[in-house]
Amino acid sequence: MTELLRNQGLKRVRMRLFTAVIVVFTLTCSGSFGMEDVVSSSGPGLTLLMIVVLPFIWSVPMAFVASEMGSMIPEAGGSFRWVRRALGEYWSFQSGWWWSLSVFIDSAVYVALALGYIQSQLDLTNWQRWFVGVGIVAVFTFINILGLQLTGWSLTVIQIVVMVPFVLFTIYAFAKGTGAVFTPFMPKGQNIVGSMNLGLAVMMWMYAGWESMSTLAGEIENPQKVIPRALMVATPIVIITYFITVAALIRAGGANNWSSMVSDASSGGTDYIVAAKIVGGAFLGWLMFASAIASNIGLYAGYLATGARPVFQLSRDRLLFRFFGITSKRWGTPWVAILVYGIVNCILISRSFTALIVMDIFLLMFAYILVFISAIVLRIKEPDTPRPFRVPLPTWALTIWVAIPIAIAVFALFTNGSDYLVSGLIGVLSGPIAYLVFKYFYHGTTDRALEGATITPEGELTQFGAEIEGVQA
Amino acid sequence: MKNDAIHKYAALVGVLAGVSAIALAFYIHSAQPKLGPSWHIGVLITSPRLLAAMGVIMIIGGILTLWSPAPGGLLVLVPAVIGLVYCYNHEWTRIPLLKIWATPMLLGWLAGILAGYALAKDIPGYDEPPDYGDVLTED
Repeated sequence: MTELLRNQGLKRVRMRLFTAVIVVFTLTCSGSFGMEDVVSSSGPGLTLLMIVVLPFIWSVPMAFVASEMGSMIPEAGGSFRWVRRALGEYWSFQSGWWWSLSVFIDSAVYVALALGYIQSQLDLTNWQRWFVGVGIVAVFTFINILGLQLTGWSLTVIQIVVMVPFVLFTIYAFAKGTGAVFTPFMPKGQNIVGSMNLGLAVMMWMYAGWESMSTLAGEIENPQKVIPRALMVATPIVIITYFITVAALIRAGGANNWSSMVSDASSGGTDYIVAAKIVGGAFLGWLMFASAIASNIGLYAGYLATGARPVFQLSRDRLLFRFFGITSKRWGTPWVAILVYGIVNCILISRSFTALIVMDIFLLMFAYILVFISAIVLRIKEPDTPRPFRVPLPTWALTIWVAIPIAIAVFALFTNGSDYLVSGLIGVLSGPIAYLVFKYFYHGTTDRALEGATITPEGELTQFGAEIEGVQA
Repeated sequence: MKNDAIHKYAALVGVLAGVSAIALAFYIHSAQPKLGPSWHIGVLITSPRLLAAMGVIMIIGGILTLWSPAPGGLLVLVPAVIGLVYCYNHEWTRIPLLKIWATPMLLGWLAGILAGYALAKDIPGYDEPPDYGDVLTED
């Protein structure tokens, strides 16, 4: 009898680079739905410029930092673990709490958006709508419990359904469309800051999610190699996808139609579905409709997978209810955490939760800021710890590079509106409150006791780490 | 009473949060008595009265942190959250209210963080992971 794994009862599966790229693509892009709002608020030229420039100061730093940290600490829970190594138990709890809370809300939003698309065509009653929603949640909860291999396959199929209509749409748009892709640069009578404001918030959202896959590191073979490679391959693919499909949207919309673009065109305006009907007829419109539903379902499936792992890890660190840490002996997945996510999603999709949605962005930004700070702290605290992938910059230059997205995050926090600010702060303050409660009742674990750690706090390879690296401890 | 620095800092900042809330309550009572309409249960809970009440609770929480950081920290943090909920519910005066609540809220947040550190010092973690008996094996 051989021991499969000593990593908390999680089963590592072989994930091909292609599948890993699909997972990253799903978490960070999954089609370009939502970009319509950026076009109408920022103007065609500025939107396309932001699509090219923003990644280098927002998402590429996160992709690189996630690659370095993921290769250095390839453990289940991902960014939650990195923050623990850099800043200790308190801030790792905050990071895990904010991130998990954010994904709890986020994942329900994607199901609600998919249901919105379905309801626009089928006129469902509230109960029918809820049952369809529960069906979607149940299917992907079950797939997630069965393991990452099946989740990866399902995401691959979903992304084919998402992207084939986009490819056809792009061809039709450039062949038949009449809109000017780059003009006007921004809405008439607005300055550049005003034009960027709403567009920036949406686009930061569109370019988020690069750290998410790291939470799955405990269930992938060779995560320190697979995840960084997937991030490096997916980054240009996401940028090119956004650029080409948004350019196609502007072209398909027709002359001067960019200002009427809106992500939900049920009450007028132009979204991807309407634009597809304009250039490709009803059939392409239906394909794009299917793509929109699949896109949101894909995002749901992806975030269900990545969202359950930090909760599981918090429990394994004795900082959350014990039942979240239970794994399936058959499939090697944290099935209770996944199931609880599914149940909460079923409850949330039947209700209006506007206040929760606005809280979401704030929570995620704070979690991102902790990841960036952790990357710098670990460069200083543990300069010699092996990093199979290392951002090719000295620490001082990396500090400047990550300071830019931190500044953008802070800027966005204060410019999104007072409802975002206040409800976001309520969500953020829930972190210190939760820590006081859970630490008091569950006590936590010392750093030395962390199960599944690959490297000790002193930077030495553990027995488990040696197994992963394939060397002697 | 814990006699180390982190407990003292947590208590000091918690008390400061409460004192600032009471001081700001007096300020808006005299300068802007109408700021923030009554909250659900008539004229009793107005912005100054809520601020003053939360300030008193924060001071009690701050002092309690010296003995027990968990309940003390909660007594400082929860009023800060109640203040934010109050600001969120008053859409038309949200920004002026937020300017008033910002100082006690930020100090309360800082006191909560320090209380968390104090609690971590009081309660060391277990030296072993929880046992779920879930080592996976195969033949």
